[in-house]
Amino acid sequence: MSEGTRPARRQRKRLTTGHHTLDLWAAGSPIVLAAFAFITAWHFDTLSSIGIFLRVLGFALALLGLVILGLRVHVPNHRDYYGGLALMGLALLAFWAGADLAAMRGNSFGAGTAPRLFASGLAIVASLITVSGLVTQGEPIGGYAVRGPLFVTLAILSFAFFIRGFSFQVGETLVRVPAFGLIIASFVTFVISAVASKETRWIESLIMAAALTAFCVILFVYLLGLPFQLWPRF
Amino acid sequence: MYELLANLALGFGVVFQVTFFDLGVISIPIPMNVVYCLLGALVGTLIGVLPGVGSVATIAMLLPITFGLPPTGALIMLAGIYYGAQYGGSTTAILVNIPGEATSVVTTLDGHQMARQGRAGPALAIAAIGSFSAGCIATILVAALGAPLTSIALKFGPAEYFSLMVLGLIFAVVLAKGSLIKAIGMILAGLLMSMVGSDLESGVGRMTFQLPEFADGISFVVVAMGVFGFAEIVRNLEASPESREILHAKITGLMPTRADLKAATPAICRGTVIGSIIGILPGAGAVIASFAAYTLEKRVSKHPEKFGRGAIEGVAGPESANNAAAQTSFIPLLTLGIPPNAVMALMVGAMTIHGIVPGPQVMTKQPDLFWGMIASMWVGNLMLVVINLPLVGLWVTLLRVPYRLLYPSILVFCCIGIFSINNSPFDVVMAASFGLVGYWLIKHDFEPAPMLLGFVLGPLMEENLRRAMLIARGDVSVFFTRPISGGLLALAGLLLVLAALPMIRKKREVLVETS
Repeated sequence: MSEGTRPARRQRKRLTTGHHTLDLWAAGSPIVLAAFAFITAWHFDTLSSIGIFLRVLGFALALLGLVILGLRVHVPNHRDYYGGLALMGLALLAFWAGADLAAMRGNSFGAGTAPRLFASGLAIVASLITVSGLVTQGEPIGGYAVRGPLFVTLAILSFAFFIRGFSFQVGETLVRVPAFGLIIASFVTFVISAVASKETRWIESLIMAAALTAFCVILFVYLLGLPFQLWPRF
Repeated sequence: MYELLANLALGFGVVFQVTFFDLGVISIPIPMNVVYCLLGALVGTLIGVLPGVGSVATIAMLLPITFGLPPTGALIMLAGIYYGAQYGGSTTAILVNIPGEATSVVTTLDGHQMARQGRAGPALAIAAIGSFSAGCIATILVAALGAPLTSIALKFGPAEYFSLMVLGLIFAVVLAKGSLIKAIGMILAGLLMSMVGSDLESGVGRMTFQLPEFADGISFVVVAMGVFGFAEIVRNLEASPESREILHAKITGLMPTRADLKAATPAICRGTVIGSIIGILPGAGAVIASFAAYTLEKRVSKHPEKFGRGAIEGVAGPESANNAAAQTSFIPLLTLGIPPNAVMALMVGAMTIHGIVPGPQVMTKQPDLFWGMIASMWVGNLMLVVINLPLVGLWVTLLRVPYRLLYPSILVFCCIGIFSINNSPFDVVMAASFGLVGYWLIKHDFEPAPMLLGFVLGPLMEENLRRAMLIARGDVSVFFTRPISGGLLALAGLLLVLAALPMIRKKREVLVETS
């Protein structure tokens, strides 16, 4: 939220067509969203305002995708274009997931009224952002790092996995994963997350992991008295 | 005036309330709330000093440690944590040139230059002294404005509340970095996500995908921790190691000289005034306050060329302003129950956990809590001066811990913190996915702060919108025809139009660029 995320310079630039290689992602994303919009619209009355709104959105998205596909349009600002489409996806997901909720009855709001209100607003704003991705020039997204996000996420997931036991069913047999407790969970989380950085030195990190685990046990369990299970329980 | 003094006396009475600890032979009186405040300021600074951990993340991380305390003690401790975290942010800004959070961005400009010239001590001291003097004045202001604003707030109907929240969100949009329309999109996304969970009136599960874990909605701490804590770690890992370089110059001499104090005093006064006024406004109060104070100092200075090269006024002004604003931003929360920024939103979360519903009724129903908290603000500021000046050396050592050891520790702390709120591994998994969402947002130039604010205000907005519409029998014009509500909405519209005007947009972009 400080350096590194400068807003893209905005300059007007004419859309260029024809000379570019086909961008399948740029063309495919709105077409997939259009399909989603039509599936969602199927849950609503054809003549209700939401039903009409979703169908119009569907047609607009399909048209956008087909135009990009047919004319080989080059999308100049990827951050805005995909950002807008993702928000559009979120809005459609909300319509779809809340399709069963009660609508307005008389003057009183139903359970679904406010979510639909916010989702419609989001869909409109999302389309504006998508359009701005087509008419402004922006810096490219510039590649995602894989190592950092992957191991940070894995480390967090491993904490969730080790801290509390759970069971699930595979066919007939019940598989029970025991709780490993706070000590193993925090040690493993530390070690996995250490993989995320290229600068990690292993011996130092292992010592630190042990020290931090001890510190957490003292702080959270003994000083603050939070009910944590320390060791594995089978 | 008499009432004000009586109320403040009540507050200090609560803060200095002593508990007797029986040791058999003698019993020792200990003012527990002061201890909580001290501990809060201490651990707040401890975590806040870590580079890349802002005050939102600090409070979110430390929230669990207040669970075992009585409500008043817990809130006093949280307030202490907040001030500590903010001061910690300034410390990193001065010593490492990494602003712990947005409010200390401008402090890096002159503060870090002073540190490079070997004057880190005076810079840190002036930041603490400025914060303390601003804190004293702002505390009195909060106490004086609390009662009248509460009586206004009691006259507010649902329509007014709704419009006020719209205004707050528009402020957040205007002050967010980058494009306006993307900030609006973020707010709507936050509002939409807050709708997940049971409907307040009918109890129907909304957008829960039939998952029982979603029935209570998505926890605020999960979103905050994911989008701010985890995403920030991932981003820092991606940044080059040089940008996290830590100052190796020795820190000599803590006390500012007489000339320093003479230069800083008027700057502290101006900063306090600006900060107090801007802090009351909803939106990202403390951030804009520090920017405004810096601009003003540069404008009134006889030597504007000194700014950016280690001018002490450039530290004193913004630091006083952001502390004053941090304090006065409690006013909308305590009187109206509306969190004006992400930090206050976390305070709402903490209050709800302790069974307190923030709003005008807190002052009338729980006067000891209300005034105790206000008095604790002053005590918290005092603690900052008392503990931080002697401990500067310790914070510097902490800053020398390399990031490769720091971030796994932060990560483990966050995991334990999230898990301990509900004892739910699902929350931890959700936070991990919000971490990835946050990383995606950074990559696409979306600012997560407006989303968080929308997420917190969502349920409140829906409730008031529903009520207003029901009372007005479905007539939407009620929001425009009631004078206060109409005025607030008109102000919101005006702000948005102004921010979109090309001339002002350019200025806003310049402001954004400097951060």
